[in-house]
Amino acid sequence: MSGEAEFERQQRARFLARAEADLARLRAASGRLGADPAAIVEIEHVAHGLAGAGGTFGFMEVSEQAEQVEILAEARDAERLPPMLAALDRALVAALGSRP
Amino acid sequence: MRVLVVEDDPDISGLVVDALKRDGAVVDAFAEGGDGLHAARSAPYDTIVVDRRLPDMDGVELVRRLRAEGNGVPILILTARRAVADRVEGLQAGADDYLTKPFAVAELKARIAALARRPRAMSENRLTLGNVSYDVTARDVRVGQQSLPLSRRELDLLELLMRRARTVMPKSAIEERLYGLGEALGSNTVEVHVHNLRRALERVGASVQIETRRGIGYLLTEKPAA
Repeated sequence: MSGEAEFERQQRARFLARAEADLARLRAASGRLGADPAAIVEIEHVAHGLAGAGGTFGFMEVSEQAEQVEILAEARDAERLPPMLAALDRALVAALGSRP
Repeated sequence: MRVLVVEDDPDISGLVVDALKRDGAVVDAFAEGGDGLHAARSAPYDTIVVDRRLPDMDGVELVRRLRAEGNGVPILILTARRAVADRVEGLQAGADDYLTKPFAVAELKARIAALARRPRAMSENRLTLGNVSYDVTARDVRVGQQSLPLSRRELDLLELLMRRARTVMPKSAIEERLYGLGEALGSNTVEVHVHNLRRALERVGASVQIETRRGIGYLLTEKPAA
């Protein structure tokens, strides 16, 4: 493996470790939506980070879905969030599935 | 090249730091704006990369503060893709460039290299050497606290020498900068302006001096301590 390819592999692995943790945080916060006002704030925070980082590490679908979630969470629109969260969940699962 | 990265996302920060270091850059990274501001004030950077959203400070505020202090280091601001207003605000605050997240690292590196290639002082409005400071926008020269009135040509000459302090400016380059195409100038015109500026600086106790490199040009340096 070339130096550049190895560098990219290491960086993607770095992001995927974070993606796994963020997925768990999103699922936990989703479960508290409606009951805990802090849940939507946490979703916004996690989605904001993923929107910026996903595509930077080569996972553009994660960025695009995370951005939609962030917009709704920022607007505190809990009603329309679940389908967007589900789409982001799928994008993260797909990204995690790319691990060798 | 020395780069300061102020970014609170540890993965993005790590990626940028690793990528720049692989290219041979010296990189300092901080997650908080206050630490980044302190670093920017303490060390000479070629470029600063700053995220818009920082936990303790708005990245634009960091840019604004550095510019208010006369710090002209090139700054690239990172913003969210949809935040057009952030980009505008960042540029208006004094950032030189922006990149939206997500971004390609290759593009970030290219933009940093382009910023670092720009003549550093071109973006500075307040030049300082020794006890001489020159506010280019206000055309105001101060030696210590004392104002120093100069002619337009002398101001242009001083600015040129301050922007390239400690570097020999060829006489031909000074002529080109001070005079427009077609303007008539005598063979010793530059010497006359240098002489007058030198006298003016000496008269008010400036701690800088214009040195002559015979047959080559002039350079502005700090006088050695007595």
